[in-house]
Amino acid sequence: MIEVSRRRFLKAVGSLPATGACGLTGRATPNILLIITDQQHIDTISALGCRYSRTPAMDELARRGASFHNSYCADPVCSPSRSAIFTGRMPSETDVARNGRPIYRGIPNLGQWFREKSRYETYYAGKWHLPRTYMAEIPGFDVLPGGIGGQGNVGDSCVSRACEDFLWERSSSRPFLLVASFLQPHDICEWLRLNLRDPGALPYPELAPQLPELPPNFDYEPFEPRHLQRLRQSNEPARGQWSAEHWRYYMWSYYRHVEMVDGEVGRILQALEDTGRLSDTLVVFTSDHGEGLARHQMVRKSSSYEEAVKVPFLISWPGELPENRQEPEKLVSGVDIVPTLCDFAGIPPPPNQRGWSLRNALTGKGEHPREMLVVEIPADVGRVVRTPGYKYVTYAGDTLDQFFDMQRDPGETHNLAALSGVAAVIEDHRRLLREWEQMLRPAPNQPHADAWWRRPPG
Amino acid sequence: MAEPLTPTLLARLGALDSLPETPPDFDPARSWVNKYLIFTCHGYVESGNQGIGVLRLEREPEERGAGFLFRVRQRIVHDTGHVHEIEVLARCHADRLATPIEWRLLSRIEDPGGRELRGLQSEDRGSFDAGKIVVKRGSAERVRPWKGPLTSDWGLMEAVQRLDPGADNSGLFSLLQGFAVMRSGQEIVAVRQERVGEVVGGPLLRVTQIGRGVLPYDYWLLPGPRRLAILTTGARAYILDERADEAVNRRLRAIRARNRRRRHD
Repeated sequence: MIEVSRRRFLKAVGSLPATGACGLTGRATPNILLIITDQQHIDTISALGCRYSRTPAMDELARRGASFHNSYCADPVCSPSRSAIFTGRMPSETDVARNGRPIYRGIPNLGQWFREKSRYETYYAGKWHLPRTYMAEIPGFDVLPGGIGGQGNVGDSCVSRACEDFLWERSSSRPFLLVASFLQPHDICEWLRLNLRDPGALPYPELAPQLPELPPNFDYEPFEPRHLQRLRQSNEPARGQWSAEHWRYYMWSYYRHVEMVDGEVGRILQALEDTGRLSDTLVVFTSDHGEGLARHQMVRKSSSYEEAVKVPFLISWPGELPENRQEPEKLVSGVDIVPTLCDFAGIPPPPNQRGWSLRNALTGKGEHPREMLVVEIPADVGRVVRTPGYKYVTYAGDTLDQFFDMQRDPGETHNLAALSGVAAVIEDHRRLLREWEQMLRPAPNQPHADAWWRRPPG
Repeated sequence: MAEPLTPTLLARLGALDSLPETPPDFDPARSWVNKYLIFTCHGYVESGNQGIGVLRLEREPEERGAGFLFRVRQRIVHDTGHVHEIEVLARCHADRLATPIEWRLLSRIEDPGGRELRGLQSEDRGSFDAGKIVVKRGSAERVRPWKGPLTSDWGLMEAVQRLDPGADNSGLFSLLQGFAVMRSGQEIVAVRQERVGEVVGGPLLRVTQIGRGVLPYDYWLLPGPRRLAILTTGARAYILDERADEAVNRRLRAIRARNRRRRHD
């Protein structure tokens, strides 16, 4: 049974940082390097068990710090998720329920907040997407260049080069917040369009022994919410009537895209080390959303399944935070990033935060307050409520909900929503969602607002 | 689009209407210059396909020694109007992989107004010898032990032109991409003649490379002179094009005009 009272829940939201302006051991505030990839499935890091990719840079980050395995984005598409990462607010509040929208006026982004409240110098390299993918000017940040829409294979090397040069040339004694925002492995979207048609034979027969196996949850339940059915039908595999081999070739290609960005991440980490900044820099690594990766026969993002809503989340500060630590259970959300970084920087978070600092979770010096999280589905069409044991999914205008026992069925293959035996637990999740939604301050004119904020009490 | 990039598809996209004349005395093992348009495709027929950069490769045999000098100049125009330029001067062995011996890489970035961004220039000097890769930047030096065959992505574009299609070209090697990122487990897995439509006037020799950290690379060579005409990998292509600078300058002018409009809006 879920036991999170609204009072306890709200009390923890927006909590102030645990300490003042100094680090855990009295050291000056760290430099902060926030690395964001685009569309990275959580299970793609070799050190964390992925058999199909080699990711030495991400492996090194995992060894240097903590890896959260229950990490979720706030919304499984780019702009909405990024708006949450950079404000600590939900996309329905930032007015970024869809791609290509700016953050709602009056809500500060991370760079603006750091500039206002701290001595940090703030820099941004790479994809922004709030509203445009790449922008020469971003409020709150000095922009380091780099990026070509849809072509991380070309632009990402400029992002890493600019970050390298920044680290090498920097002489200021003030701490920095540097965001390195890569486009890869998002290029898989271009791959999907170019390989829509199943060629009937592997284009490169030599790859046959290397192709990954289809995942155990490749099949899907026929009774799904309509949104998920439409999503599947609109994507390339259904349109191109893919064979199992073409699915496996897509998976092989996706892992190569992950390896591409890993190489660029490695360049920045090497520059940190070469410039002697490794022990003075807090590094956070995450992605804006996941990737279908053939689970439930999905590709790309936008769905409520784990592969789309879960993201890698690594955090390290050598000498200050425990190394090589696995966090398989603790729930983490993209909205936790702003309060966490503010906490380490020794400044209060912006008002109305929807997440918590992870500092206590990292140091073991206190309770991690998060017992549930909510993921918004693009265009505000749905909600996911994730608790330690369960996952509840509901879509506006659809009577068919989903409910999964995540301990027994992590692949989400058995929808329990219609079973009377779990009705009370489902109702608990609905209550949690109502309480959460009532706490939010949604931007005006959000689609499907009635479904979430004016829903009559059940 | 529904099919991977090939010369035939590039022609259908309007990215390839003809290839420049190859000098009759072109010899991959002697001096030459190849200039490529770097073309990217979004997977749609109607939009998002464009030349975004220029890659110029120049080979010059060393007067003494068995190697060659290799000059690389790459200029890429980003969506914001920033321009990233890389210049490399390398000495390479004239072996199967154009193994790098030493290199100097300069990187610079211009802002959308065409001004060089201070603090974002760099110079790396590297060498590969006696089982180690040494890269120097300023006074710092990084030494990496390395065993096994090594090339660079640009160097391989030179080496495939000297490849003997009838020989055994298999064998794993590593690729120092952009003289910056190591990609291991690479292999030339196929060399075959392939018809690619009318635009290039006959079959091309297709050399395929696969490996870690890259999508398959297909090198399309003119079979007679063995000149690398086209390279395709994922959504990116390098197309032999003497007028590549014009296309990229057009993109830059368009971006700058758009930036001006946005400032006035």
